Amino acid sequence: MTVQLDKISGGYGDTLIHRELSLSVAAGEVVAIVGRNGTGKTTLARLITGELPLAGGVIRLGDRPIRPLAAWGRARAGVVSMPQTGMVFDTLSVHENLLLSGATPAQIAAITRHFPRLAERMTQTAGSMSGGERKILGFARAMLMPGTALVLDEPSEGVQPENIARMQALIDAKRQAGTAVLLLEQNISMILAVADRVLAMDVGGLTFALEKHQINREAVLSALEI
Amino acid sequence: MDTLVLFTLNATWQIAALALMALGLALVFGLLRIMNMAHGEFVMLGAYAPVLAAQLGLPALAAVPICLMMVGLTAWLVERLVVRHLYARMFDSLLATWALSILMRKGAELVFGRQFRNVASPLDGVTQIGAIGYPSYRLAVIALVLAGGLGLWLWYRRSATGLRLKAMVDNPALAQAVGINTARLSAMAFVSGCLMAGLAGMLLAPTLSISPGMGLDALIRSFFALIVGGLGSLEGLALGASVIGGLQSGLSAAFTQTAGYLGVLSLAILFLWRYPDGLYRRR
Repeated sequence: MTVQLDKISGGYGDTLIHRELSLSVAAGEVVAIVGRNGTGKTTLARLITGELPLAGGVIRLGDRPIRPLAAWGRARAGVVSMPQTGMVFDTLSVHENLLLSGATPAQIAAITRHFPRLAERMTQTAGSMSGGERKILGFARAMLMPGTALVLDEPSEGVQPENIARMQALIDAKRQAGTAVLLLEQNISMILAVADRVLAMDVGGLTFALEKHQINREAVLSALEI
Repeated sequence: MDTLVLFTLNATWQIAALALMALGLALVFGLLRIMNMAHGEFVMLGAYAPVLAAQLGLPALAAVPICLMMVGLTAWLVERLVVRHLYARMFDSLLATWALSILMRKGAELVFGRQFRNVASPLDGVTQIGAIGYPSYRLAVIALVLAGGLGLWLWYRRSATGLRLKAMVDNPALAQAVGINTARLSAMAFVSGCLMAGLAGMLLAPTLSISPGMGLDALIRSFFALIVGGLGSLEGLALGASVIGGLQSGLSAAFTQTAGYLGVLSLAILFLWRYPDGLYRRR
């Protein structure tokens, strides 16, 4: 389903990080937002998921305005997210983390075939795993949740290349299924592999957009260097 | 031999009664990080349920719905009006619930009067264990605490709601991201903790002298058990209640009641001072 941000503002307390930012992600589209650290990518993700309150503007999922919904309500309405940090329940086992997505045992078994590492560690607590493995677990949990929009905040950070490739395949499958995917990433090869559109973010807002045919390594790098 | 059996029974009773009394405090702290200073007043409120049932001429079992309604309604109101706004603010919630405890105590003085009351045990027989006759009611409460504690422990580990609670304790933001209504779950947890306190008061009522001020003693004894055992887990609660209850009945049997209180107080101070994490450390 289409996700539409219409002139949203927000940040931490009285400090606005974003002012009147607008963008939309169509159903079945993967939009990547790139930018240096500290430009407000994670803040944007939190404003969409409801972890941070909006100071202004409208967010629509399809035709439905979701601003009045708390974070849990947005998740149930179909906005699935994987935060950049704290993406797993550290004290719970790998299996319990996956169970909380609401998935059936068959679905859980299916996702662990993509990531054999998780299958080996089902009973281990998530907090005892490496940073990359926790990213994979958080990603797998997000993939299992039923949703029509997906917000991924740096899923590939610290993850080994073969697992990044599996992540890309799963993101592609979500696109095929008609999910609107917003990907906040620094990993250029992942962006090149999955993005339909790239938006560059700098302090103060979005600076330029790259359409599908304009996306190449140099163009994305220049967005990262602004 | 008989002395030993009697001592064991008394110690078991003390431990079970203490664990029952402290359960609500442990639940609310473990799940919500709120030190509910009005915990004792919910115990007190529950203890008045059988008093009311007797006054109204109702059968003893009527105390159960009276307790659930009286305590549940109070806890629900308190959560809506006060506690809801103070989650994740440990010191503020401590102050607020402390004020609440004074209000509830004074309220109870107005409604129930200041005099001490007693209620008859609904199960007034004696069960013969060897040569010893032990009050059947106490044995029934011990059995109930064991079964209930084990049931609760299993439920927390195995059930879907238990999993959601664990997720909320671990990472509230992510819990919301997987669709858990943390506000409602927190409210449920708080009301359940208060209901546990109320039910403890109701069950222990025949063995206590009931008055509006009885909550303070309940709070302090519960707090000691949690400090020694380790705050915020059922395992810690069981351990703490065993040490505190066992020590108190041991010293009381060997010396005097006063020695029992003194020993418990010294141990609690020692733990607060040297081992604030308690015996059972959370992961």
